Amino acid sequence: MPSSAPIRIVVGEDQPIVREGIVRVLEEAGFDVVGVAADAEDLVRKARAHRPDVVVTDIQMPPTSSDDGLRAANQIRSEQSGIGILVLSQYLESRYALELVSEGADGVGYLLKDRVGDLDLFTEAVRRVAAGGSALDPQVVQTMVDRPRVESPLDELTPREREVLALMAQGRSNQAIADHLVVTVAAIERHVTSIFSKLELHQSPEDHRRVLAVLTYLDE
Amino acid sequence: MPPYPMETRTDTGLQDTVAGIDSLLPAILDCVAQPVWVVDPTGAISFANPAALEELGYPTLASLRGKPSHETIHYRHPDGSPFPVEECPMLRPRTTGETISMEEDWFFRRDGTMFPVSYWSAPIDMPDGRGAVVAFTNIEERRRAEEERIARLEAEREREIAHARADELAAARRRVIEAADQERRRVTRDLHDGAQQELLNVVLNLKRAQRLRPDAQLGTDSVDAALDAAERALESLRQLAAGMHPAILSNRGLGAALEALASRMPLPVRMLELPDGGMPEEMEASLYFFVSEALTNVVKHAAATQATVRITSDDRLVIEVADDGIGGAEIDASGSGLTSLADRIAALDGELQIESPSGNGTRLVAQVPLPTV
Repeated sequence: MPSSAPIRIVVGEDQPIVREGIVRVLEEAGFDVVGVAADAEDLVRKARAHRPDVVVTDIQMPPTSSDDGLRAANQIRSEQSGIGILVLSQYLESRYALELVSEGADGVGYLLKDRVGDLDLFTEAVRRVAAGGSALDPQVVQTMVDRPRVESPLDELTPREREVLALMAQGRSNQAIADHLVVTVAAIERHVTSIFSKLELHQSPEDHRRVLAVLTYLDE
Repeated sequence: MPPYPMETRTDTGLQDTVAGIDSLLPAILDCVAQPVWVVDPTGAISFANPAALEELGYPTLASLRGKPSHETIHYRHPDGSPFPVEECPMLRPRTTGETISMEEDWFFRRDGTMFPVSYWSAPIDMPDGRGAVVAFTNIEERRRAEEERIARLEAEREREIAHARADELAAARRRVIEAADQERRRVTRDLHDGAQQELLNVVLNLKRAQRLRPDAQLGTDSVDAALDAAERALESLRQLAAGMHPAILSNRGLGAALEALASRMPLPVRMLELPDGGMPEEMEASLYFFVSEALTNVVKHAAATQATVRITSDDRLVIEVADDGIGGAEIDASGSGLTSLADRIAALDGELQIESPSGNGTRLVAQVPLPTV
């Protein structure tokens, strides 16, 4: 993908007003919405026809109005390697996000639907999955981090380390975490090393592998 | 007193036989186990064999002989009402020459107690006219056996009726609970398709307004406040929907829904064992709400530091929710959470056990029959 060309997107959303809202936000942010679909089957067809860089889809869509969007996304992903998938959801449950990243966290994202209005967060997530990174919703991740546990190594993390852990689980790079917390990358690297040591996890140089490791840890 | 069932015969075969062996009669009757007595033409007892004396409670023949038969052993109906001699069929052979057979009647012993008998009474020619010979059988045992049999049948029938009624009740309760669960699901879907989408749209538009705000700051505080309120409302709706009927229950089944539930609880909840699924949707919903309500009780009342949930199955499904709190929970009449839990389990034809020793945690163990696939 040439860096100058706009990122091409197919949008799946069954509710017309929300679909229009998503398309408008994406277009205003400079993305190229090449197709829209109102159900899961149409989404798979449009993805095949347009071969977009990213598919942004609602998790719950016709025909069964359960998690058809998620299943369509997985199918598209298996058919077109390297495509970015961003699932929008009303559901806080981490289960869906974990299912999405379980096949590899590269190029996938899971955001609560109202993030669409947070221009920076939303467009950054689209760019990240387009570039093969991961984008997990901050609230979904926070719920996983904050879940009450009995005698967990997570208790040994400092508040700052917990913060860094959550940002890692969202799929942010060290650079992005440093920017977010307004500290140096070196400081973040030290935190990350400490976190992985306390949790007895192996560090991975690739962000998307790191996401998977951290999320899996949090899920246990 | 209704008339007894009776059958009459007019043959008089016994007369001839008895007449022929007149002198042997007492000796023969002494030997037979069948109680027999003879009534003379005046209605007085002229003879009774040892079997009859024993049944009637007289030590010797002398203590009975000469007494009026009807007034001595046959004077009342079993309900206590008088039995006038004129109505007595037993002595009729004496006057009419017929033979009477009675399936059920009551005789009095010497001590005034009654016992049920069947008897026949036949005319007999005696030196001073026609008398009657009566042979009877104590049917107390037979009657008791029969009564017991009837009582057993009735008890069985009553049990069956009680079971059927309990089944009906359980089915009715199940329908009510299932309808309520389905209603939760419907409302959650309506929420999702309606209010949540509309509010989401409001949030998106307000965020857009915020982004595109003009340089003049006029009105932006209101936009910020409105957005803040709309986001809070959206979040409340999301939590409400998840609490009411989580979509994950329909999408991923009971195990996933319980995992998600556990992660939302304000105390550590460990899921020790969970079912693989394969249950009907209504049952999964009911078990989900059982665990959900049980954990809500733990949070509200138990002052526990952690809870565990375990669902296993062998010949029954066993759902266990335990905590390490203060214990002392019991089903009371005030409609505590435990009552509705017990109702849920009863509606599934199951049983709920509560172990809650004071100071030593609470353990709910529900056992329900496996769904018939």
